[in-house]
Amino acid sequence: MSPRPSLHLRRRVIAALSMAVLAFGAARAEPFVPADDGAVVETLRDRPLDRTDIELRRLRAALRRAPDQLRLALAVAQRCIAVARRDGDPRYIGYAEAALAPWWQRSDAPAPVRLYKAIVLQSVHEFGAAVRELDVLLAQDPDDAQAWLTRASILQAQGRYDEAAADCGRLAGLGAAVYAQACLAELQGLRGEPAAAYAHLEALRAAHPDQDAWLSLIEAELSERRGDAPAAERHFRAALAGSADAYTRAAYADFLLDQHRAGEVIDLLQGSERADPLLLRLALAYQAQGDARRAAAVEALQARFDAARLRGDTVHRREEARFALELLRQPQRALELARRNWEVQREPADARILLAAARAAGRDADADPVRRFIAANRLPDARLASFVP
Amino acid sequence: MSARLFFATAGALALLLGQDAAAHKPSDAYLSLRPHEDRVSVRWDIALRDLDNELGLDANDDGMLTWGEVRAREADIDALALPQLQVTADHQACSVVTAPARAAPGADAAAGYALDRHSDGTYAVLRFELACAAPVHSLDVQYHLFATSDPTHRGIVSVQWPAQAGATAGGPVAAVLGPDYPQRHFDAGAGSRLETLREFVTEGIWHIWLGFDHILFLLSLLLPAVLARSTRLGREPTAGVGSLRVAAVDVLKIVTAFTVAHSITLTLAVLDLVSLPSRLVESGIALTVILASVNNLWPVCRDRRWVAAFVFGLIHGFGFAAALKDLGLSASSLALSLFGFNLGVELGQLAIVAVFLPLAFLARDTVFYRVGVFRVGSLAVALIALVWFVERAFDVDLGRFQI
Repeated sequence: MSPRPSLHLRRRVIAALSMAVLAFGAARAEPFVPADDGAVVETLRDRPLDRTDIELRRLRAALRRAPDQLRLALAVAQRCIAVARRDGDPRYIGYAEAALAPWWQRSDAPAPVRLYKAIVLQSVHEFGAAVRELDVLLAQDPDDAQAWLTRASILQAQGRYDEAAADCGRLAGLGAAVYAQACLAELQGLRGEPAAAYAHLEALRAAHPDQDAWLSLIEAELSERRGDAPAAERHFRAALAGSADAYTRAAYADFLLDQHRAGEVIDLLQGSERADPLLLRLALAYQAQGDARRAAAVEALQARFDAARLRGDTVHRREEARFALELLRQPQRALELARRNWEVQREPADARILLAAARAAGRDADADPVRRFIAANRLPDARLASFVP
Repeated sequence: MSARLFFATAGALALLLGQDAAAHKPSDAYLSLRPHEDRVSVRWDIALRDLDNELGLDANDDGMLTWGEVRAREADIDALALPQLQVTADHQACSVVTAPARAAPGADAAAGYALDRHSDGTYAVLRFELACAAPVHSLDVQYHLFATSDPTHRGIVSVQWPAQAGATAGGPVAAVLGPDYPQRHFDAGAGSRLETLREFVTEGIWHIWLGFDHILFLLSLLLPAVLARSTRLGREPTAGVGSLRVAAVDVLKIVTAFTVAHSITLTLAVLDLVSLPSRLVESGIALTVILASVNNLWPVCRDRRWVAAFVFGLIHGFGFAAALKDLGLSASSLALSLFGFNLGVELGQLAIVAVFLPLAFLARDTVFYRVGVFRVGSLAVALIALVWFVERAFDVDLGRFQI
């Protein structure tokens, strides 16, 4: 009845476009309904239930009935953090936080709650908040060795080696001598004295055979930085024999990739595709081997990074930078990610990805902050040598 | 990465330190809302892994979740999830009218409960309708899924406004909700303020350009502006005006009067201070076009056409208001939308005048203008407007002139 033409054509086009963009990428496939009830639609575990899982289940069930029982909550949080570490599953970090919820925001939170809260915050890269939490804890109880150790490890990850060393020193007088020595030796190895550090660790491990696995891991990484591949190989194997968790396997996979032993990486990591860092190493191994499975792995990784970005996560920048550089061969994008990652964490791997991305992008100078960091600490790392004057 | 250090606590448990636990993807759910009229269609993708953690879906505990194990617990999944989502439309709660439909094996996937694969596994897809009290212009979403069991869970929400409700590209149509920020307001067409302004200015311009009745009304009043005023006694114009200035002053008076008038009624109507039935407004507009064009053929009013522009402009303002309301207005951006739309109308109008005036002035002494444009044109406009008037006043479709 009106002569007005539809003004909404443009609008419809715009709306359709934005809808398509916002369809979450995730919903690319249409929903489906399996044809029969027996169809397996999800695999919940990569491995059979073990004692920790069963115990955790029992404890969580008990906590659900009595959520204000501190001891129960601490037991659940402790085990959730352990499972998160073993499987590399951040959902368990969330479950740990949930268990501690009644005390989470309280100004009079008990010391163990603050400790676990710091670990939860650190695992989502809220380093500043994690350190503040530990500062409060340590002001109340300067004798909490675990808190000093946790604080030292966060400071170390941020490249604040002097402060980390001071914290390690505090451990010695608190009945945690072996941790104090290992902590100081690792920092020594990062600050220009790798040979002395290695000698310290060898002696320490000989004196504490019960601590073999994690001391071996420290020695393996130190040996890599020293360019001693046979020693690194030996120590990695000892570490894996003690604890084949996600972190140790990823570290060993990186070593194997550097050694052009991609075939062994595939054997090591097949079946662990659910963990993003392990899938990344697997994809790199497929690429090195010319394996056709590379394409599917790259696509899966891309989807996961997209999903993380959608939720606003930034904890994956180091991995995503490596993905962009080595798998997508997009050095500019890798450089941007690596640069932002360097603002948050400064471990040798963070230094390496920024140096490599800057060189690949033809913008070596963009990695100068890393060079200054290496020079200031005399960080000895054979893998970084080619990037540093 | 540095090697971790772990430390035996009194409980003899080694804790991880200095390590990323971000190996898998943390828990997310994807919530998509599509308002249409007084309904909201919802699609909610929730990870089976998360549902299993909460409800223990894996009945035989073999670590493998089958479709049968999921389907057997659909009612429990509904009971877990639905209360954790509260949607309020324009401050009135919406309620679930169709529970997530139960899909029989082999049923049409679009009909209900289904699955979808995301980057980290399989998700249950819950689809249902919400009924709200009135047509939806804004939504408040409160999201508490898994708030107590996993504070790191995030609901990734997108709202897809229907095109006719004024959806904007670039407006806040997506949000990430979680325990620390469980609530979010979504406005139809609520982009940034600048975005909103730009959008409504554009709409105003298009509205006057494409709303032929307004253009024809304006042109009908402007056509005589370039002709001499020798026709006060009803004779036809004999010559063009001497200077462009004379014509421009006449045009300025008319355009200003029209602008002031329609701005008044546009504002009154949009603020709901005055409202007229649309049939009256639309046929009234057609009538003003007839009167303006017939006045060129049998002049009643020539010197004071600006008065006609003012009086008739009041009616056009109601028409603009109806168009503006059709675009969807939110209370929060009402003033901005009104200002932007009005500004757009004026800009569109100025553009028409800027094209019309020089051409008409140049052609004023030609037979083409005086007969072809002025007389025949006015007659044609009067006839077109007559058809509109009949159609609008009597609600019939004469089948032509539907531009």
